[in-house]
Amino acid sequence: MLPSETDPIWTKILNGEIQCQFSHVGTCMLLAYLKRSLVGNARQEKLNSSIHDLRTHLLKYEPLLRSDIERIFGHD
Amino acid sequence: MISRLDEVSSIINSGTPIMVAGGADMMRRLPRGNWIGGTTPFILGSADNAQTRDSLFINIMPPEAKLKSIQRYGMGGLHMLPEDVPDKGFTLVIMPTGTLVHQAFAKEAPHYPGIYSKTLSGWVSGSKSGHFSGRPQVFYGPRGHCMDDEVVAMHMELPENLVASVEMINVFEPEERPIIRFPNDGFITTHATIDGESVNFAEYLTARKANLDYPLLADYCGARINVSIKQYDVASGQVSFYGPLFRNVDYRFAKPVTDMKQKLMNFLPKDGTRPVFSCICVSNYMQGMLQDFPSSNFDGPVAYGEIAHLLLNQTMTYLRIVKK
Repeated sequence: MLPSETDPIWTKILNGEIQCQFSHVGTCMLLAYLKRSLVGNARQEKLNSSIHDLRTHLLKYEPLLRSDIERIFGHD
Repeated sequence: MISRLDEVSSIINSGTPIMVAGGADMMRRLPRGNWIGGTTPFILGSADNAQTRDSLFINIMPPEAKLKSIQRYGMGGLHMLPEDVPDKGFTLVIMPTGTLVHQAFAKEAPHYPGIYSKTLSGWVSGSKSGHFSGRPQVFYGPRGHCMDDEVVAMHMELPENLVASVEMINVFEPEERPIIRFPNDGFITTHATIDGESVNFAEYLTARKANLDYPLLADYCGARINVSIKQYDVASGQVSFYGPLFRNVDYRFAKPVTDMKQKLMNFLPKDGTRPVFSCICVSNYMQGMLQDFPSSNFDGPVAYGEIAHLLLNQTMTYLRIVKK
């Protein structure tokens, strides 16, 4: 089960405080793209939309990402 | 699978959606129908020359997938492609190498809304240098049109209990040092920083005697993404690439790969995965001398660029369907 968009873990993932790696190439690409787009553009609005995009993506691919999701969010 | 012309025609006439790869002369003889095609001289898993033989390679779309539409996209409509990819399903695309649409996709795709969360897979068509069949082409099956300046796409929908996923196999591994950074996004650069020191990158590559068989690698949160060096020229001071570079990304040189064939075999899934579609880069195919690569579930067109959400270089990519 993924945490809600208001959970601070999403910000930590996107600002690199928590380093995440995924086994699904599209997820890796998305996270890298979101992190790049936030460099020098740390407005809350941009951060919120990035969190929404990442969480929506993980929900869609949850069947492929169960072990990654458990590893990253399971013990938070 | 490799099929004779009459077999391919029969499948098309049955209405089954298929992707076709091989020679343009053969594809011109196919009936109109639910198919897209692209030219390539080589098929992984088949030693024959695909542009001169009397057969074609086909991927038959799985029965659980329903054809939504087959579309063509020119320069003016390319940005519409990701919007047309079904949210629940996948899209197979083919685009001709060295064309404006190819370059535009490479450059713009990373910024298309939703591109990473929709399942877009495919390949870049090509032709053997100097071969009589000429320029790389794609085919739009519903009208039997042959084109050299458009993208063709087959949009397929899946039922709620299935999800499609594009996967990538990259046999290259990065060296630890140096760490290379570029000042701007793009396909051409003059300068780079090497472990923090600014250099003319063409001069640096010349001094290093860089082997263009091996790409630069970037780590995208666990995915090793290659960018192949096209050429470098000390006179102009420019280095050009087959894929886009991004600033704020660390790149490294790839370690030499001595046994491409064995490495590739090691990376292939051993769980009986039968991909809907797979392709391998022509550079890997030639370097690895994969003409005698054993036929497997991963047979497919040898590509001049692989598409897994974005345009990739020097990889194998495949599309699979997974039960939720």
